[in-house]
Amino acid sequence: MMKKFINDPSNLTQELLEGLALANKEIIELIDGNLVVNKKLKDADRVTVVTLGGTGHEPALQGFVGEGMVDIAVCGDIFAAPGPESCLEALKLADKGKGVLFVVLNHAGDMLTANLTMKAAKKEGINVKKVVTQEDITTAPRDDADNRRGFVGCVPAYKIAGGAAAQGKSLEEVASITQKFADNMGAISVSLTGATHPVTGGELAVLADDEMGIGMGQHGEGGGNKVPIKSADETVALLMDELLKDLSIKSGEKLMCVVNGCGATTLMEMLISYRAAVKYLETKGIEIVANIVGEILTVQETGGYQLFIARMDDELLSYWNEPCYTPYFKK
Amino acid sequence: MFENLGKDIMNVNGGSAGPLYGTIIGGFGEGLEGVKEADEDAIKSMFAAGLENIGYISTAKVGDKTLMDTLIPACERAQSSDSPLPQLLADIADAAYEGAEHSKECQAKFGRARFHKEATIGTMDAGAYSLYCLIKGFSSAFNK
Repeated sequence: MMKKFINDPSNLTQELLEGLALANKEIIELIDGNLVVNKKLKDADRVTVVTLGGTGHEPALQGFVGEGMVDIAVCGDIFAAPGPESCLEALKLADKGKGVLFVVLNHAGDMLTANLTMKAAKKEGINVKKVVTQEDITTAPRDDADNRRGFVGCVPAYKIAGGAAAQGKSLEEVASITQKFADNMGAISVSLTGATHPVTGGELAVLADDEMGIGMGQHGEGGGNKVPIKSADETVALLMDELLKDLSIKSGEKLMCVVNGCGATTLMEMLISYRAAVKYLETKGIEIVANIVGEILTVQETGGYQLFIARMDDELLSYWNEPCYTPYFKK
Repeated sequence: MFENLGKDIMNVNGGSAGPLYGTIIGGFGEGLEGVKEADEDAIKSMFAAGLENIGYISTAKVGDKTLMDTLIPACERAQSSDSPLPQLLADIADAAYEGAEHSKECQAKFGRARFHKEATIGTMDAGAYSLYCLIKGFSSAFNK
């Protein structure tokens, strides 16, 4: 049964975007076409960053619009991509003469819309480059990355892109830096409890009391395995082994690590899991040099988290450490 | 009319369905360009163009459990049927229905459903069914 504080289920996206804009008046504005726009975009003398995606994953994606990350987020309905017309509008609006980076998560609807948008943008002569984030290691092997889903990795990728743009890099450079970061990231999800779709009330996933699901998608879509639940430390070790193997991470390397709560996981559990990640990596001689622990990209009230890592170097770290100011991530 | 409709549908923020339906219906419109009368040739041209247009954005085939399970047989029947209108549209709708029914037996290869793997066998694809409804609608409307 669905138990949520909502009004008309067909108006969720509009209301949540209005709420976000009202709560962050100094950072963002909401304009027609469900575009969440960085208020300082008009003064931007740099490469700008645009992204698209469905809502229902708050704070992602639109919660990361602001200086240093995303300039415009084009929002679709709950779990559904927006149309190409709004995306084209966003690209036009975002282009301040230095070009636009279009960050797209690898999901069917997002990709269809993004490809149609890119075609239209080329026709209009907009200077835009696209980077696709696809880091879920469970859906396909690394050499078939086009069949990997986009998870929480888009958010650190926005930060890297925004940081590089802030340092005055050209569009070609921002795109290749972001692509390099994206090519070196991996994520895996673990879930304990499912969620309800806020429009239909339908169950997104069902897990028994003693099970955890490894490899579930961003909308509760299954796949993955259901296995007996383990402790925080054991679970992190299990997930981390998969990630390290996938990215061939060796002793001495530096990583970014994100523990992304999916909606119903307590900060207590996230912190315990992050601690486990640090300690486990220490035993392998691997250092975490950048992190986020918290709810970044959620799936309604799903219990569980996505464990994300990315290979870092001093250059990427310099983009990561640039200041940023968005409703849900500040540096 | 169809081309504007295609554009509007493309932009309803409905995920994959928006671009897919927008492209199919926009294609129908292109197939009807310059057509004055809704005759058999117009219908054949409309379906041919719809299929051609979707080919630019999707590589799904029959059996991948998508709306192509409905669209491809419907378009093939549009070309192969010698029936006059309105039977031609009824034939196309029959092929669409058979296609949608066949999607039940298939495992999803595209979209979010594909991550459910074998669990998708036994359920009709939502896109295949909704496209059947649209095509059936053409037939019903023409019979009125």
